[in-house]
Amino acid sequence: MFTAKPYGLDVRARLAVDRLLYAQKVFAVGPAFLQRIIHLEAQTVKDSWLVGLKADLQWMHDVNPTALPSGWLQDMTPLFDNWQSRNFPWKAMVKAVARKQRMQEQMMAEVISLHKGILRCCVQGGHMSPRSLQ
Amino acid sequence: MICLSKNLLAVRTVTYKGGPIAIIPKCLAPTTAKQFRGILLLGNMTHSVLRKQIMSHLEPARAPGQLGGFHGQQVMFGSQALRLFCTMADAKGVSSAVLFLDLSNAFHHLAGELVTGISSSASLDVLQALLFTGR
Repeated sequence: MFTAKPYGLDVRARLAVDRLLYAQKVFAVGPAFLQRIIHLEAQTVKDSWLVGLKADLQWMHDVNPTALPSGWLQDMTPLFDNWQSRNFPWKAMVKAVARKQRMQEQMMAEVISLHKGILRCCVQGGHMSPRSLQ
Repeated sequence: MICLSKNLLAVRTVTYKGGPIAIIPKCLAPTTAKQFRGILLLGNMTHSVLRKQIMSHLEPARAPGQLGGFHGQQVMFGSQALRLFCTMADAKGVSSAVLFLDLSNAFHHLAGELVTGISSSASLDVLQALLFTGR
C-alpha cells in the first residue's frame, strides 16, 4: 500500500505565508511612516514590496478564491480595513490556505507516485515498453 | 532598598547582568573556547520590571520611529523602512546612507529620566555639543 511521505510547504509558499502574516501587522499596528514609505516605494520601484505582497495575495486567492474581499487587486482598502479589525481571523485564514495548498501538493505527489507504480507494473508484465517509464 | 534607590535616583547602585548566555561562534567551524563569544541575553532585570509598569504612560508620548519595547511593534518595521528608503534612493540614482547609533542602555536611561526628572548633566553637555556645534 502506498503511504504518503511528510510533505512541507515549498519555499515560495512559505515566504508568502510569512509576508502575509507580517503585512497584516504592518497595516494594523505598524507606524504610519512605514505605511507611507511602502506606498511611496510602490510608486517609485517596479519590483516593490507591495508588488510582492500582491503576488502573495494572488497565491492565496488562487488556493482559496473566497478568502479575500472581492476587487482586492484594484482596491486594497477593504482588505486593510479587515486587517485593522481586531476580530478578523487573518492568521487562521492564512494558515488554512497554507494547509490546503500543502494538501493539494501532497495529493499531486501521491498521484504521480501511483501513476509511476502502475506504469512499472505494466512494463514488468510486458504490456508496455520500458521507454514509458522515462 | 537597592531597587528604590535606583528607581528614584536613576543611579545603579548594584550592577546585575544575569541571564542566559548565548554562545556565538566568531569564525567558521570553531573548536576552541576563544573562538566563541558569550553574550548575555538578559540585561538589567530591575529596569525591565520598571519598564513594564511605565509603558502605558510612555505610549501616548512616544515618537513615531520609537518602536522598541512598545506593544505590537517589531524591529522589522524599522528595518523595512530603512531598506525601502535605500531602495527608493537607489531607484532614483541618489546616494543614501543610514546613520546607526547603538546607544548602550539608551531606553533605560530615557525611562529613568522621564520618571525621576533627574538627568545626567554630563550626558546633556555631550548631547548639546553634538546637536549645536557638531563636534
